[in-house]
Amino acid sequence: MSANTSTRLLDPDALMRIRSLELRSRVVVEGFWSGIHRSPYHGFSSEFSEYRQYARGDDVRHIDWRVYARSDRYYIKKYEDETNLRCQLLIDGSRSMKYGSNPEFNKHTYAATLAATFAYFLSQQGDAVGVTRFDDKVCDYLPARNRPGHLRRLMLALEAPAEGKTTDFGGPLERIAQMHDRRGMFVLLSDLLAPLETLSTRLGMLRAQGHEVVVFQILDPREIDFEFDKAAQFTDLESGEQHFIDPASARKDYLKKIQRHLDAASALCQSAGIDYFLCPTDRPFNLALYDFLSTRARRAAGPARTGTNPNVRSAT
Amino acid sequence: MSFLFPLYLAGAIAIALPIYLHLRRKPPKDAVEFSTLMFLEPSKQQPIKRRSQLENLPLLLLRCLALLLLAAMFSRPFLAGGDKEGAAGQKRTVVLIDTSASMRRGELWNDAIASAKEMIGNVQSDGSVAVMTIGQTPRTLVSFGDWRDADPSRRADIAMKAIDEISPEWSGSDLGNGMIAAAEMIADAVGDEDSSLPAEIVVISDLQSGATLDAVAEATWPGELSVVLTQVEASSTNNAAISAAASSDPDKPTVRVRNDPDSETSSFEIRAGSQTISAIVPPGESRFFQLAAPASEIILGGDGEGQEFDNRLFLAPRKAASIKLQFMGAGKPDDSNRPEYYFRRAFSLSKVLNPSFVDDLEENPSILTIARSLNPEETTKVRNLLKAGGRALLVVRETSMAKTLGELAGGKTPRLNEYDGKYSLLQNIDFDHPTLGEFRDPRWRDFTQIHFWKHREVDPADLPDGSKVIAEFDSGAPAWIEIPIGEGSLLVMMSGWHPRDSQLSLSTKFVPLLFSIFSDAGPKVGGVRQFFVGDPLPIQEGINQITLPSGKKSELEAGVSFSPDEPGIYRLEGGNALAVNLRPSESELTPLGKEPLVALGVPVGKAAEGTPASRNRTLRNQESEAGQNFWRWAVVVLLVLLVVESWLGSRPTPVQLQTEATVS
Repeated sequence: MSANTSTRLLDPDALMRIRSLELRSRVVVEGFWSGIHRSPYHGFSSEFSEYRQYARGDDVRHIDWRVYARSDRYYIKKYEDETNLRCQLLIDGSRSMKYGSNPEFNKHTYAATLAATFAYFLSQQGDAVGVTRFDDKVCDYLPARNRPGHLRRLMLALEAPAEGKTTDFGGPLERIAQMHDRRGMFVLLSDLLAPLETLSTRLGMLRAQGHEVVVFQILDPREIDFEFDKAAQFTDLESGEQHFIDPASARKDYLKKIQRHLDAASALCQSAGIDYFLCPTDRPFNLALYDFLSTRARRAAGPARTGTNPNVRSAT
Repeated sequence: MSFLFPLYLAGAIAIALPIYLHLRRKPPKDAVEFSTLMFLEPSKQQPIKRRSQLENLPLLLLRCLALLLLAAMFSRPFLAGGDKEGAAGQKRTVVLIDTSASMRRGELWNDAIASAKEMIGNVQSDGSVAVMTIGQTPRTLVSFGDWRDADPSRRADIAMKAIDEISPEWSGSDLGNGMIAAAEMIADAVGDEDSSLPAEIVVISDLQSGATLDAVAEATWPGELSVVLTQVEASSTNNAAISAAASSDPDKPTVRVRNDPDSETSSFEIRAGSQTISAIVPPGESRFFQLAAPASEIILGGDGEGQEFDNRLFLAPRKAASIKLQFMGAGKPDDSNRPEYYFRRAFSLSKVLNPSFVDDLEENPSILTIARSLNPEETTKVRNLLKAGGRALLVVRETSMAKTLGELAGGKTPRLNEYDGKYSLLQNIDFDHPTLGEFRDPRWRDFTQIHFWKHREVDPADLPDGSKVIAEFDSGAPAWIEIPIGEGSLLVMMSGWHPRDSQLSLSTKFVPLLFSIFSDAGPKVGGVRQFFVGDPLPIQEGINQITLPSGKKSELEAGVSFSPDEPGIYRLEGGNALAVNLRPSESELTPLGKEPLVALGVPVGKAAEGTPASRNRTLRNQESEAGQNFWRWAVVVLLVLLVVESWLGSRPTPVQLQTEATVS
């Protein structure tokens, strides 16, 4: 498959004609280098990470006696944990995700495809991937695993349509945080069309537990530009509420408000140290995958997580 | 342009529908599902853009035009001929002025004259006017002929002058006959002219409820005639009237004072010569007052100024009636065992009766009673008397009177049997018979107290045809029988009233019964014979002069009745006097309203629809319309319009074209 063909295929319009989610994700991932992700867990694997001076309370079993012999100092030998990344894909299954100005697909299909792409990509690398679908509660939960057949189940779970109710980040994210005590990565795929206050606290909670969080805000181009030409009875997909809207008069106000909302979402992510990507559904998947991987690379290069081990391989 | 069914033009209102549809806010046909409305404020529904209205304008105009045509088509337009134009001006008007006595109240007469003059002043130049008055009889002041013959510039003046010359009379108001006379005048004047010309009767009256309307009940009114009621109203509603009432003592006349229901006062005084009686009569009620001494003129006072027209009552000095009586019986008149004794006492001398008993039939007695068998000569005389319209009472005292009964009745001699029972009572009394009508009231109809010890039984089959049994004994035999003979009649009693036969003469019913039997010939006990203005006076032949209340003497023509035209005492030659009073109905002043007239079929107000004349016009219009047939052309144009409308409607609008271009 030539690069040209690949790029063209990655256009959502073209890609969405592939019915199988698995195939779609494979097409996206095709040609990407499967990078290695550093595990945040330091343990007893073979990969040495660093020496650290012994402090009271450290397990004496980890003292490097040979260094002690040489330097008469107690040093603790640390190793890089090479266990794979545990990534949980959080898919917003609320009804607002059903909206799509393109009759071929809607936001949920896009989100599912993107999630499948990440899942495929990560499972190719041997990382554990799980899926959680939520609306105002957790609907489907597939724990992060890396087993033969797990990817298949994961794809099936992703193919379920968005039949949830309203978006509510509070309950589901809190529950998810409770279920995951081991640090991992959370990729939130949502339109974030809900009040952001609870999102801010829950994401902050996940971050406080040490999880990495990436947010992809998936929006339809119409939701961003509000390019409707006719006045119509607009129905809220979640609440069923109906308003007569004349786009000509309502657009200006809408654009102002949606921009403020997007800015707020971006700002809250930034303040919580969360990677935030606005992802219109006409954006090619490979770019989204690129965003994903770039954040991985940035994490890998960042000081907080990385040690001083020169052997760490770059993610990109 | 006229329309046969103009009501259908109301259908043109339907053009409001397309205009509304074109102007209406575009309904949000499209329903768009959107992820969230949290950033959207509901828009106020706005009318569609002016630009798109303009695009639809031809279509709108076409649709409106089609609807207008449809409405016009149903209302069947036609071009009316000009023959009816100007007809309104040729209206015939009869001004009917009430000149009855009640118009003398307050300012009523002046108001009525002013109304009449205003009415005449408003008549258009080519209209015709006649003026009539309503009193006891309608009177024409100005006829249509007078109006037509007069110089057009002087017509109104002539009519007004005629009105100035009249004044209210003392008569009652016969409104019904007045209106009929006016309608006849219109009908006569129209004659062979077009009867569809509008005509109007303007009644200027106080429309008092005492007005007579009897004549209207069976009248038919010409088409295009309308009756306009112009009511003049008195400023004061106080009124009381005085009238004569029955009195048993002619020396103490009784008067009746009636207070109008709308009166505000109830205190009056009755003056007669030197006597004054204060009278309290609540509004709407009547009271009787007896004067202490006879009077010829009685005046009622206290009901306010302007209401005096019905406050005078004239009473003629009352004289006892001279009546000749004859009782054909056996024995002495002062024998109390004989009926004659009681008969003479029943008709004794009194203030109302001056009896003279005669013994000879030649003297033509007014009251004749037979209580014995008659010889053939007497029988013939009595029969002749009866045949001429006289009345006689036959008391069958014994069975031997069967022959007399048979001969008087004009049939065969009936067989009479003496009743042998203990006594009998009356039954099956025919109170509907005029003779016994006086006893119809339940208070007087009890005859069970009267025992009949003896009576003679007669078989009704033996009586001549036409005989009527008006009372029976409880044995079933006829007690009192009325037998018509010629123009008169014979009343037969099968039992006498003397003590041997019955207790009848002891009964309080005896004298009333005798007076009732001879009611035509005898005096009216208690009754007052009254004469009213306008009524012909009963003046005996041979009297040639009458003195009017004013003192003037009037010569009477033979064969012509005399009707008084004002209240007062009319003195006849020979000393007799007749009191003529105002008709009591003139004092009933409550306004009549138009409802009773409408109920009687008077075309009050506008000419009623469906009169023959308007039917004629409708027929003419239908003919014109059928000849012109404009509606057919309207159908053709309508069809063309609909085709164009369909074509225009099916054409895509510029907006649609633009959309399609964008899509492709």
